[in-house]
Amino acid sequence: MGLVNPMALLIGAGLLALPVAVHLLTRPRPVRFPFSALRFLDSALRQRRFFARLRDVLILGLRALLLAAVAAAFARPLLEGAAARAGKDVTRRVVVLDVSRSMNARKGGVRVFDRAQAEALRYVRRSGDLRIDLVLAGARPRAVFDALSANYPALEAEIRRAEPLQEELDARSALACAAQLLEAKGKNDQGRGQIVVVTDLQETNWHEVSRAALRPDLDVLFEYVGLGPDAGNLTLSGVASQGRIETGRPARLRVDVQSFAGSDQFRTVELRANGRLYRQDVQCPAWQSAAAFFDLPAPEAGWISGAASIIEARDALPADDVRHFAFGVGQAPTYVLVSLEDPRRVGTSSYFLSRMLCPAPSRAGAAGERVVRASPERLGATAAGRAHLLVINRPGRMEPEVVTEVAGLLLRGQPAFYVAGEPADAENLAALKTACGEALKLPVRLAAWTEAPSTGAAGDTGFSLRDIRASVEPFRVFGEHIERLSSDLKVRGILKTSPEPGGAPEEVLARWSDGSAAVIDVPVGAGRLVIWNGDLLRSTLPRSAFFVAMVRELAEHLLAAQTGPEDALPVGTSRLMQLPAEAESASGLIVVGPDGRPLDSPNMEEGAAGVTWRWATVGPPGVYSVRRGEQTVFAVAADCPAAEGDLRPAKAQDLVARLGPSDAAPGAAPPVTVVGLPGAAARTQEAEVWPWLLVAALAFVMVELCTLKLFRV
Amino acid sequence: MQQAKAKSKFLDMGVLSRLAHLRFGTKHIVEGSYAGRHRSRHRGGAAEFLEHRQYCPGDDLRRLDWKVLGRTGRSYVRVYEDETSLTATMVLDISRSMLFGGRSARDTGGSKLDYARCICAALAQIIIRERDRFGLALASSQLDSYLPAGSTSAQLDAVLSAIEEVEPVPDTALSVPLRELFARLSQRGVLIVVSDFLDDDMERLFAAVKLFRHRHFGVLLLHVLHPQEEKLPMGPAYRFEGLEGEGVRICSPQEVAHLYERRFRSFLTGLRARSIAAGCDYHLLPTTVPYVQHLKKLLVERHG
Repeated sequence: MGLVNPMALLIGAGLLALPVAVHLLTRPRPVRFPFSALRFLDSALRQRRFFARLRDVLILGLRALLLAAVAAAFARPLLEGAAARAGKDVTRRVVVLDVSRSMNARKGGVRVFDRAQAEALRYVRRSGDLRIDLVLAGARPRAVFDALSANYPALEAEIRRAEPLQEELDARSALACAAQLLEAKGKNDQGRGQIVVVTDLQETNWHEVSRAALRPDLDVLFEYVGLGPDAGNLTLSGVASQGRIETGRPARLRVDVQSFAGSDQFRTVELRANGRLYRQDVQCPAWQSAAAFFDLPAPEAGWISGAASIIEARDALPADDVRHFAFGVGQAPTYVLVSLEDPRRVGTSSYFLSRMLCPAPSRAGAAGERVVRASPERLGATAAGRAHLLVINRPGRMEPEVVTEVAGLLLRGQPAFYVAGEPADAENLAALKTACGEALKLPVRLAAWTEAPSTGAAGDTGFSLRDIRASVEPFRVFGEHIERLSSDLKVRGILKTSPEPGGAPEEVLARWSDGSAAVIDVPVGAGRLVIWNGDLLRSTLPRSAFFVAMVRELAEHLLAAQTGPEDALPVGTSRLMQLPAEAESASGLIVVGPDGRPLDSPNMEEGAAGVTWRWATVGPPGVYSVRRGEQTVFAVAADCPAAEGDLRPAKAQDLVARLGPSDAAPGAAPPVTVVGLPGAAARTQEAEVWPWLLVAALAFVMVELCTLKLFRV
Repeated sequence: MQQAKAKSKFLDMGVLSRLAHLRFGTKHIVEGSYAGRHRSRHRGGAAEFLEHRQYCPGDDLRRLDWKVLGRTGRSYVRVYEDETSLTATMVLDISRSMLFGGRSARDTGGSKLDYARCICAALAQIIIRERDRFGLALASSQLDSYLPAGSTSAQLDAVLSAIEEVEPVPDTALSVPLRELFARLSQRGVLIVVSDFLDDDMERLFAAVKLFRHRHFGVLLLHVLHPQEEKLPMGPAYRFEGLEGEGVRICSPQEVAHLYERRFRSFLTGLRARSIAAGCDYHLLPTTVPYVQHLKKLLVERHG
């Protein structure tokens, strides 16, 4: 235990003599009284003597305790709280200071980061041989020194200088960085290492940490400085385009508002896009999200960029009330359908495919959506590289050079949709995999059936879809009715699939009723490949509205991949982006930031797949344009991930369970202490003991009065 | 009424004039030498006829009832309830405790002793006025002085003089002077004890009182009480000094007042009970009440 004002105790000790002195100096001089009935007085005095002495002892004791309590209250003792107990025998310490965006939250005029700075400063005070380092934790942790140091003033200065960044906290990296700094231990150092994390303990940041990076001989202490679970915040969680944005077609943007407040919120969302302003009122129920839709007039080719904001949000974190966006405006898509089927014949699978892709094709030469039919050997001649989507259906066995052509297109960012149902398709895909090399990793291997597969269904109507990943494209639009809607789609001609070692099972978006992969979606270099495993002719395709909608959604999904990242890039991270083919070469390209000034030496590289931009540290928030002269060839928004707007803290017991020792392995993880959160250990009670001491002093006064009354004085 | 020759500050004739119509009576049969108004134990004389009894040789022939002899031929003498004189002996407690209430060590004004002396002088004057006999004994731990009973004005002067010259004595042990007095008194009468009865040995005191009762003395106990004996003075601290050398006690009266009063009340109750049990008349005389009121009440009760 420590004392804030130790002199108060010394003064209090002196004051203890005060009542004695007062008693001695002010006791009344007895009045002389000759008395006749002294023997009765004697008798009474004898009986009272014991009680009088007892009373005097009690009163003296109570008064001494009263003075001691008052003196102790002024001395402001520091009771050893959980934080102090956790800091015993610590010789090495790393203070991790959360500098993510949520630390800028305010409530009642108090900023979370100000409290964090005060707490962090407590842990970098000089104390014996303690060596300390400071890690500023945002999207990437940054240690002030490369090793632990005794340079307390420098660390204090860094803490005072620090400010929250527009970044999301990477909690795992921060802990790993701190643990690594603590590994260096002096030869004679018998003490413990300690990690002190000063943070608002957002559940969204800390829910994925684990004890893997932490050694058992460390102490981990979390100092919670947040606003509590009811901070009350609104966040713009996303700005997305509803469908592909094309020239000649109005664009619809959706702005999502997430409420982390306990009451319904009525606000106005403002959208600023390409210099124009739009407003929309939105009602956001408590703890739920709401969307505001903005219909923009048909844009010109190029990019739509800007920012959405909540007007007068009056919430805990104003910084997340603005969100930047950048969407490419594409041309009306041109589909190149590669097939051996006669383009003039009606009723072929390619015929149906082209009708699904482009129900109302424009005339050749005119602007608008259209489908270009090509045979495999004429792929290069049809300028497939300028198509927005390459569709391959019944190509037969493709020649190696065609495979190479397709691989090249894929690698350079051309999306492709392959309808596979024939044995030749299995060979083509195997060859394509070889041609793309490491860039194409299929989750399954497709092969022809050696014997006719059995659907197992009565009447052999064909395979039906199951295990549909309804939350991703192209199935998301169907919502919860996906099972019912897809029930009318039956296919008999499919390829056999078997899992590929090292493949990602989540790339299989749906399966057939026998377990074979039905829809596969994989990235290939800068492009994307979707494989439909099913012969369109040997299916209920013509009668299935589901399939038509699914193909349109697939096409939109593949086309959208060309227009750049849908969501803003997380500030503080690093990114490698493939620029579209319009970039042509790295030479002459500049990157203009949100302030209108070009970035210094953006890292552009040319490769087989085109131009890539390696952005070492994304940010600050805003829209960044890659330009060649006045023309914008690429645009991207940077912003803090929306999860930083959820200020709700993690539960202390969950964190301790995740990081601390378990029943199964009690010594395998460091002891974890959380202070400041409801349900956690109490912080050092320095500000909380003295009121109780004054209450005790008052209690002593009351007891003294009762005692005097009891002894009838 | 016989007048005291010497003036005494303890005898206020003006006050006593209010009691002129009252007598000091007695409920008991007394034995007196002179014809007075008190019932005599001795039978005969010109008194109220009581009964006949058979003649015994030696009886006074003047008492022989000649009519009965003539009628019956038997000899009977007449027995009468004669009135005779009262002999009252007052025992005045002159111990130091009786000085309580005095204004100072030298000025006994307001003390229990002065109060008792007033009562003594008044009773002496009332009793002697009625041609009864009054004696005085000054007592403390011994019989300090004894004035045999008399009924003349000279006796009254002597009593008043003795009262005036009282010198308080440190100790109180009334049993000793009472026993001494008992040995001196041959005639039955009334014993009046005026004291504060702050005696350590109440057993011996009442044993001595019972001696008088056994001899058919009428015993009247007049208990003089000062209000500050009953209730302690209020104040933060007092130095109580014993008047009879009991020492000093320093205390806060507030601390012990309740207990003290309880004990003192118990003493008063016990004293009254013992007195009644011993067949004595007990009167509590708080000094806050003028003594003449006490006397009036006393005389009215005794007169019957």
